[in-house]
Amino acid sequence: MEQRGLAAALRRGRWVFVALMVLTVVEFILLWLNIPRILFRFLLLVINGVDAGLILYYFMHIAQLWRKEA
Amino acid sequence: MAGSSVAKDVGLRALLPLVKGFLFGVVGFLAGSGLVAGVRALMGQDPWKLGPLLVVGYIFGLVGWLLGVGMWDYWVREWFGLSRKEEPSAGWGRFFRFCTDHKVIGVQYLVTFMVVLLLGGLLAVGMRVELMTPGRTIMGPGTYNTLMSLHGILMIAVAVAIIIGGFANFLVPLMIGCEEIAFPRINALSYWLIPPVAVLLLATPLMGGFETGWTAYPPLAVTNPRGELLFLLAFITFGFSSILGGLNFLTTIITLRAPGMTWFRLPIFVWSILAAAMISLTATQFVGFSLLTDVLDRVAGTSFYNSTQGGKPLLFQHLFWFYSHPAVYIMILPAFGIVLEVVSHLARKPLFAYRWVAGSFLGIVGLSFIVWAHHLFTSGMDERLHLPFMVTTELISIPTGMVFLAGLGTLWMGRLQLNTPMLFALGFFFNFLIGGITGIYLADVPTDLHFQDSYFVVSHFHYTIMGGEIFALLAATYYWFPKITGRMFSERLGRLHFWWMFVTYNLTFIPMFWTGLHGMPRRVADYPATLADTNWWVSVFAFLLAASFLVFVWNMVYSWVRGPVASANPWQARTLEWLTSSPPPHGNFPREPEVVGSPYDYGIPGAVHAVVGAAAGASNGE
Amino acid sequence: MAAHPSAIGWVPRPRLFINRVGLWLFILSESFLFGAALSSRYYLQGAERPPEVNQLLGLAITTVLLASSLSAYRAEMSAAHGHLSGLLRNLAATIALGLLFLIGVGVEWHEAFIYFPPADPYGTVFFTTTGLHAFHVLTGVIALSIVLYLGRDGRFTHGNYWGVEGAVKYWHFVDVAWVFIYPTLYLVR
Repeated sequence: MEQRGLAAALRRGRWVFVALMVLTVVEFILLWLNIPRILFRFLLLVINGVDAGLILYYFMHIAQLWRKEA
Repeated sequence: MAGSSVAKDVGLRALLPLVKGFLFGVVGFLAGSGLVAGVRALMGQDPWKLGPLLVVGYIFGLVGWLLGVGMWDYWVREWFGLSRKEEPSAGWGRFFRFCTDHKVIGVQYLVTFMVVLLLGGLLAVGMRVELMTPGRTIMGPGTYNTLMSLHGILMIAVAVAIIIGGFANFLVPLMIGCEEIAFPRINALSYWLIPPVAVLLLATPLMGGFETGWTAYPPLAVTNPRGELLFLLAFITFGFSSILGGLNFLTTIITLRAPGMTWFRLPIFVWSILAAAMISLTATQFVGFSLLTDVLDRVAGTSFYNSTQGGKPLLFQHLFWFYSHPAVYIMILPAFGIVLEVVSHLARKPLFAYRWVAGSFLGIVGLSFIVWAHHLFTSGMDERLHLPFMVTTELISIPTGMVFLAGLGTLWMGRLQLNTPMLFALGFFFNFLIGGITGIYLADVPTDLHFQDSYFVVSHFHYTIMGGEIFALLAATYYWFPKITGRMFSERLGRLHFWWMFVTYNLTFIPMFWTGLHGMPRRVADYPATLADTNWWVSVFAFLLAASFLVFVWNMVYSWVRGPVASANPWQARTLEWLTSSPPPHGNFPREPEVVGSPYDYGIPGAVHAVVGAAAGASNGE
Repeated sequence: MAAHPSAIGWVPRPRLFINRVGLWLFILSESFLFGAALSSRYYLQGAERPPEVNQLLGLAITTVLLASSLSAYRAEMSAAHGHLSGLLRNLAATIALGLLFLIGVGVEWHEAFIYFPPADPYGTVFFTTTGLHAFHVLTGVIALSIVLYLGRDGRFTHGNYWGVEGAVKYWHFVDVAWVFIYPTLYLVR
């Protein structure tokens, strides 16, 4: 089948991975900064929520469940 | 039923899969425990420590049993690129092997759990013998505790699995008009996980028994004899089976409804199964985890519940009841579905407030997840949690009450046919009313502080589960008996069974409220001597109650073999399962049914629920 | 599953959709299991954590698992586009990264036995949660290996690649679970 679709999909995957890695490293750096506990926990929650959302949406294609495929 | 061209098991060869499963299981057990012993020896630890040997041996043995009984032949071979074997599609041997036909699995579940129900009932008879007189009657407190615990877990297993595993398996694909459940092999897997559970539970007395009841509270669960470990493993396996069952029903109902079967044309029983499956899919993971922590504390030396190491035994009660309270709705929701179904068809009336009932089921599911801590009012939980959990618990009586009123609304002005299934459904309403009202006192913190762990609680939940669910189960058994077996039961014996059971049931359990109020503790082999007279009478009525099941068993077994042949639709009911032959053929319907209306439009001229195949022209209009 | 021979006149069922619904429900169910494990950590321990937790190793195994998710995604996309060699290469990479993750957990356990053994309150939660997760990783590796073995002759690349999709979705779920386990065990304070 068309190679262009595959190339685009692989490129998207790379960007998602980069985003996940950046978020993880940000978490890791936050650990060593002396920010208030409440803020830290809140940030962790947000970052991991975004992480999970990225994987669910881009890697696991959760939208397949309610969106008709072309 | 059996054509000459279909593959068929002949004679005793049909039992071969069971033998093979047993042998593979033994080999698996030896391999698993050998592996542990080897690894432990290499790590310089005592290789013969029994706990780890049992746990890992059991896991390997379980896999061996499943492979031997048919998973290898009909499933796993595929994973190795081999061709799968052809499954026999006829013959009695199907009932004793890994079979993916949902109707076979339904019957397997029903018969297995009916046997377990009778066994659990015998254990209750044993308990009542001990309780006839205060002090020691025939057994010591240790034996009594094991008996009580076994009765508890066997009956919980029956209550959770018999309707969902039996009737839902048989009926849901028929009622929604499809030929098979979504994942037939997973369905067979969930059934074949049950025999090891039964074996483990019955082996517990050989390993010292277990005294925790079915709730397995630590620290007792951690320090109890080794029978407890078998019980924990059995319960985890059972939970796994229950999760897979829930997953199968949800997927089936979401994706496999016949053309035209919209959400609000579903028979109400299917709605109740949908709701119950939601709970068993999700909440069961919590009980699995809680029991796993008990196992780890016993075997792997963790300290979840060892308070000298910083463990907190209360954690277990939170994890456990997060499943086990919703679990009572896994038991009672299908019962609601059954009685509403029976009442509507046998009163010849449209189901009253159908959409409200479906909504109430979902409301019960939602609320069931936020009430668990009412089991912890006397456990030393933070007192600030008392009020919120009291409020949520009492809120749940609103959707439950709506379901109850829908039942009464359907009966109102109906043309009641007072036959056996209807009598059991009416019995359900009577008993469940008592069970529900007495529940309010247990949800209220001020009264619960006094009633907790007394016979008041015992009587309350027996009224909801036995008086409620088991009466609904019997209504379903009589109502669908002709569909499942193709034969008719004896109506006269059915009515005898109902009246005998209804009267002795109430005479057994009503006095228990009184003994509970007067301080009789549950789960204890002894009680104050002042309660001796009442308990003697309770025991006598309990024996009579147990005897009523002899009528039931005789009626079922005799009618299945010798009963008159039943027609396709003996009740003139309108749901889809009655549009096919009794018993339904392999593949359920001659042609794909098309649903065109509500299943409950009794008394509306020209109303049709479904049409099976334009050529056949069969429909269920009046 | 093919339709039964006796069932005539049935409209073909959307098998792929059924499989997807079933797998997503299974994932929902499993998330309750990890939810139980994580809430036990907070109930027993609050946000306490011993100082000996190996932060660099934690970050390293997280990176490995995220990278394995990328290669799993690439495998699925290759299968979807009929690119056999890409599928096989990426499946092999995913399995290798999964095994690397397990080795990382093994090293972590080896250290943990010294600083916070299972009888220790933090050790109880740490070993249970990582053990539970590692078991899921192991089953995922087995599933991916079966898919790799079956897929070597190109059976998954003709618009029918549910085997790949299912195993890969499960693998991503194991990754999502770790996304919450990692901060719970290593970062939160």
